[in-house]
Amino acid sequence: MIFDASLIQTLLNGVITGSIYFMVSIGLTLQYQLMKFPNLTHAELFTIGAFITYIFADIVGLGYWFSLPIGAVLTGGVAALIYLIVFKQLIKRGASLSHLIIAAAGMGILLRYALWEAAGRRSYFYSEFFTPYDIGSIRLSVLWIAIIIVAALTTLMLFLLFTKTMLGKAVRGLSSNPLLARVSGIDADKMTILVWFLSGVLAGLAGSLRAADTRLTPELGVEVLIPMFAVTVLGGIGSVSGAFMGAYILGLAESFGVVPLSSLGFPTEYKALTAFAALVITILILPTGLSSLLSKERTRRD
Amino acid sequence: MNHKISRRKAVSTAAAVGAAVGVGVVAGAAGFFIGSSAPREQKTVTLTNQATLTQTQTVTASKLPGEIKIGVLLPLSGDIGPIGSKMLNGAKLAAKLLNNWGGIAGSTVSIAAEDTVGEPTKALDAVKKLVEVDGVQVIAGPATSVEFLTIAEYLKSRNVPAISMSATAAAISEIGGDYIFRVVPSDAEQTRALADLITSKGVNRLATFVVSNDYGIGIETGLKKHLGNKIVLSIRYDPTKGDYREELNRVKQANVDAVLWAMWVDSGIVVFKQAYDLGLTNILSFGGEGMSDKAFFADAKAAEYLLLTKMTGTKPAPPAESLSSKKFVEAYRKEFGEDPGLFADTTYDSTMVSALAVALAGEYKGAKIASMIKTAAYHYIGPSGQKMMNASGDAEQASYEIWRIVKDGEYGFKKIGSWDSVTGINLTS
Amino acid sequence: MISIEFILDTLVLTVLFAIVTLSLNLKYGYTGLLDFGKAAFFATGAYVSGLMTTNSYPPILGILTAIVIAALMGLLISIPAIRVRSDYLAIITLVFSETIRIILKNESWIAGGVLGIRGIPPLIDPRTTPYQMYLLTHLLIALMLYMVFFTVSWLLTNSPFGRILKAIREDEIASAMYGKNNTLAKAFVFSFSCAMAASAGSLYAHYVGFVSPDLFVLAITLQVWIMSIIGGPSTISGSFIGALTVLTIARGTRIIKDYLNLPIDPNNTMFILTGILLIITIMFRPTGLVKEGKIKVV
Repeated sequence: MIFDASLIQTLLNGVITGSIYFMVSIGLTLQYQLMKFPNLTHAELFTIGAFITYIFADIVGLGYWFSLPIGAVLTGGVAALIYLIVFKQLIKRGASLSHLIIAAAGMGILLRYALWEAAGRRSYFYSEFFTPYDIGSIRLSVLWIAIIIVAALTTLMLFLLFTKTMLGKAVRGLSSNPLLARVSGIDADKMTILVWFLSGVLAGLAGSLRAADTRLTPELGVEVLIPMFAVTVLGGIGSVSGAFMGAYILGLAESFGVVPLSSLGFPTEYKALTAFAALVITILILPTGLSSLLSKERTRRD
Repeated sequence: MNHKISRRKAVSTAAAVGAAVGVGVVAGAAGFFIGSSAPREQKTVTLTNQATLTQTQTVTASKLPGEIKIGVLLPLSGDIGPIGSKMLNGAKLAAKLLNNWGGIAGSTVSIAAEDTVGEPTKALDAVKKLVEVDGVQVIAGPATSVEFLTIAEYLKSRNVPAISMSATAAAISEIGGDYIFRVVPSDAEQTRALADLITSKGVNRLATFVVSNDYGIGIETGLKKHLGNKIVLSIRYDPTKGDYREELNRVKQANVDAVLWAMWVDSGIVVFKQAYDLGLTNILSFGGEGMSDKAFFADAKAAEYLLLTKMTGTKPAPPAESLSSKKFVEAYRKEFGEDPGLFADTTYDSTMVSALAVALAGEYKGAKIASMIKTAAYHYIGPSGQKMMNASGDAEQASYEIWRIVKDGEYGFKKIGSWDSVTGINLTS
Repeated sequence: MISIEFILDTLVLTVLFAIVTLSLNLKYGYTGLLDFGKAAFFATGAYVSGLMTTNSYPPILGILTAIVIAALMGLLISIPAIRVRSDYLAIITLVFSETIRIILKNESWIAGGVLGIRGIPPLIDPRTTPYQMYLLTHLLIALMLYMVFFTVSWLLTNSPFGRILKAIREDEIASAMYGKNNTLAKAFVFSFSCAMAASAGSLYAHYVGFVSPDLFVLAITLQVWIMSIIGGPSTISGSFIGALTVLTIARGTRIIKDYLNLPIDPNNTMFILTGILLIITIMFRPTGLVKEGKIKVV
């Protein structure tokens, strides 16, 4: 009996982790396909969102739940700004793919250490107390339920956005075939800003939730850097449904992976390797990701 | 224009450049050597006392510089920054009091502090800056064992002694005694105390949950030696991975009576928060000195968790509260407006012993100072006790206070007993 | 004031890192391979040397072994890595580096785990030689090594082989069409570059006397990248300039803080400055401080 309950708890943990991974990876996968380079700065938006939420929740005093949407939206703004100030200029000057990757890495470092500077090298904690409950032999906290609900809502909204609205279809068109999209009158620049904004919002949201579950520190983004990429690659670049699958697979793998690890006496640090392994295996065996297995339209990348 | 160069010419050019560079460096070195072997000056001062003396006296001026710098290496930021930045106050207090008492042979004492972030490579950078840019010849610090082990060779080759206030890993004893010292006992002793404590509480199944570095692993290894068969689960966690629900779940499933925690502050708080969320509250918590810091109360959930699991532990402390420690706490409160934190007393002591060693040496030269440190420590009793050192430069006094978390309106710690290597454990409540 | 020893010490580190930067330049600047795992090879060299010399093998053997092992490792990694496009290469190399770090950190039977290996004997005994001599000797050895690699790299790149590398960087398909063996070229560059980084790592281990898994962290890889970009990735001399620039900023900020009362913590300043410098360099002078020269074919 205990055996069963513990597995359900493990399952739950995996779902929670997966939800966070999902939300932060959506932005990355969309950007990756649109811009053609992996945006290493995305992880810092995760952190920035958490900090902005903290400012409104605990310094301005609005409380966690009210500050959450504010933080998310503002993070979206920051993301759009980063695009406009840095990457748009670089692309205008004809920066190559490699240059963009490196610039993204540099930008990431800059943001992270600027945060260290602003926040000091310590951790912060939201003052909100998320009560845990016992449901049967499983423990749940208000926060964890919130994370799962937010992820579900996000999935639903994105699905509607991309399949039912003109805006969403325009973004999809732009990603898969930029030339044709522009010819059809889609304003590439506005769409790009929108994608960056959206990724910022989601990353900020995910970051705030994650920080509430653990702690708020400028290193928050680094923790999800590799899993974020693993999910993106595993799911297939550009595919939100792929990110969905990849995120939950990875989250569950990490969660369940700890079980044999600790019983074999390995340090649980190795669970970080799950993401690594997933990444490498995907790249070597199925570079187009899981989504290409499902979708009939294979999004070809150059 | 033809830019082509023949291969032979390329190689010979490179060889010429290399030779030129080599010669230049050697010449520069020779020049420097000759320059730096100029003899030292000896000052002669002539004194006349107009009132009574009619003769002149010749006095050799003190060989100590007007300002004696004590280097301090501490983590002022990073995972243990909250503790380290408070430790610095201990050093500052020591300097202030020394100067109030007239300094050392008329010279003022000043603190030259550098932030190591608790990382070994930064520590090496910091110590080099202290020695080579600031000209420091004695150092209080660093705080962690890995840092100390990293900079040890450098200290020895530069003849600069260092006295750590909190590096407790057993490995340091192997290199200590000439330039490497500490005012705390080795963890080889603390794990004995912890083992006795844990056994005395009737624990049969224990899990260890430690931070994956020298501090945590050192404690885990030590405990395994003393409690081997009782430890059913050992977990080492990565302080940079912010989520530990699964690890904690494993502990919950292992059905242990108690958990021995060895954590650093920031990641530790996350663990306790999540432990609370997971309901891992039907166990007893134990920890070493690293756990007895108010910094863990920064989060209400973490604090509550520690209270619920009756967190109890050991920390190095003198066998009895002394006048020195009372005065220290008073002076600290007066100067900084709050109670001293973890290791503030040992930092104070480490600074004091450094200064005293300088006084005994009579000159501000590392090698001389190093030879005087054990002597200085032998004669010194500070707020953390008698600081006599053994041959390996470790504090001889291995006595520990047993503390427990309490809540009296606010969260705090209460002393409930003591342990020392002779009489073993002594619980008063 | 700043002593000559401090300057010498900074120079030794500069030269060692210049070697690593040069290895990255060859890989990325000339061949266009995005390697985000540089720290791994540097650290491997350090660890191998450390392990061997603490087990009483002579240092020279340690260095040679480190070079051979790194070259083999580089070769091995190149097999899967080469067939993959550049952004994936970056990710794989990054992952590889992190994996080694985590394993080393946790398996204490391999190499001291988290505590690393200490007591690595220096190349000359610092206790019987004046410190300046000690520094100078290390500097000379490092310089000689750098000169050797410098020359070899120069010869390699200013040759038909160098043309192949640049061709790979610019347009791989065309290069393959011309019948040049891309895979072999890439494999060679990979292992040569890794061997270079490892030799620098070996010297570093002897100089510092201590190695730990922290040598593998991403921050070191990123630092080398910054050095490469700022100095000029497609050059040979740029490696020294880049390394010098970054290390001067790193050390300089720590010193200036005593005089200028900077509002910004020096630990952060270094990264913020170098991050900004990196972006500015890419935006306005992507070829770095030293421009890429024409191939002077011999």
